Amino acid sequence: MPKSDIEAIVEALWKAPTKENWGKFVKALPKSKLKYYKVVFKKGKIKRVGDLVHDYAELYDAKEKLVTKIPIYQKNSGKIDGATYFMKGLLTLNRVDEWIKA
Amino acid sequence: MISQDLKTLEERSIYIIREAKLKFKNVAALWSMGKDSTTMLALTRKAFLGKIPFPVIHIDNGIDYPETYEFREELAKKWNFKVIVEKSKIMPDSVGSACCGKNKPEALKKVMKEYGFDALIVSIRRDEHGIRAKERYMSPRNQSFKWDYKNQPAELWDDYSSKSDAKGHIRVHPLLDWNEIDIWRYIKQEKVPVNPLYFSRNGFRFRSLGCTHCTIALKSNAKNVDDIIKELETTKVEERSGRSMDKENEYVMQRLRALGYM
Repeated sequence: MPKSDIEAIVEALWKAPTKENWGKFVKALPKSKLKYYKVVFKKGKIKRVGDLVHDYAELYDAKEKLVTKIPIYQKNSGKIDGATYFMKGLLTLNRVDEWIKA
Repeated sequence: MISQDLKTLEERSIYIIREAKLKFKNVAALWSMGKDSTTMLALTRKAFLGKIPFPVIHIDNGIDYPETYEFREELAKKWNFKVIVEKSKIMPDSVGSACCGKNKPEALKKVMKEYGFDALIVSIRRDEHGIRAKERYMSPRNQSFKWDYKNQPAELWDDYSSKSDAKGHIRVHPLLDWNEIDIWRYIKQEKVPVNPLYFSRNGFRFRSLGCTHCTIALKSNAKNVDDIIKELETTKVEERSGRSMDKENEYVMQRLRALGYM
């Protein structure tokens, strides 16, 4: 089965979370069936920006069915930064139960 | 019709905001896209006939909620004000609250120096946290942003301090007297736009907003402003119970603020 636009972009994001690939994600988001996100904290509170590579966001459709997972950081010229800005248009599903206290 | 309590609060806040604009050469306001700082912007528009006559600073660590970024852009466009986005780094610090203890104040120092601001409007309230209750309406900070909370100027007969160290600045706090429910009643009365994260989705909502890694949604069925007001009339849950830094120990906020945290 051929991959949808968003699947191909997410795959590219995991390989290289660059600003260009995040830009493609932003463009494809309105046409996708994605509606919600949930940030998954693998290591609790972050101590340094590099810790963001362990965390990710799960993306869900309107029926709250898990569709895919994406990174929550961008890496440009070796520099890591947050990337939740690019997920605008999605709604959070994060709950107190999933919060890992550091 | 405007309630008498809210009218008194509104008048005092507008007076403080106007005093700040008059007393200082270069004022800026901090905006976290939360309910308090957005209410402060609404009060500023009332104080200056629909305009926000100073820049608004967002200290962005890159991992705020997407809804927050969306709200920032929508409101800045709708109300036509200048937003200075200053990126803050995420790295270890000596306080323990990894991001807020050092990195946000560092970014704030950088932007204050770059633009030469001598006063900063911050939307803290006394009822939020014990240490915030120690603040003055106009509170001096020294060059390194430190707050000497044991030696603060008196504020008698609405005469506020406007002097700080030669290279320091003044924090202006127009919302000190408000409490959480006042803010929501004012939002209802004035139809102030708010971040959608405050409204319940599937039984959870945010009561206090920070970034994705330090704030979390609490149980609530309040889906609109009326529901939130009803909820606050009876709740016994603390407002900042979804914020991780407040949980570390009872003095962490005091240390953070003394070091320059907003």
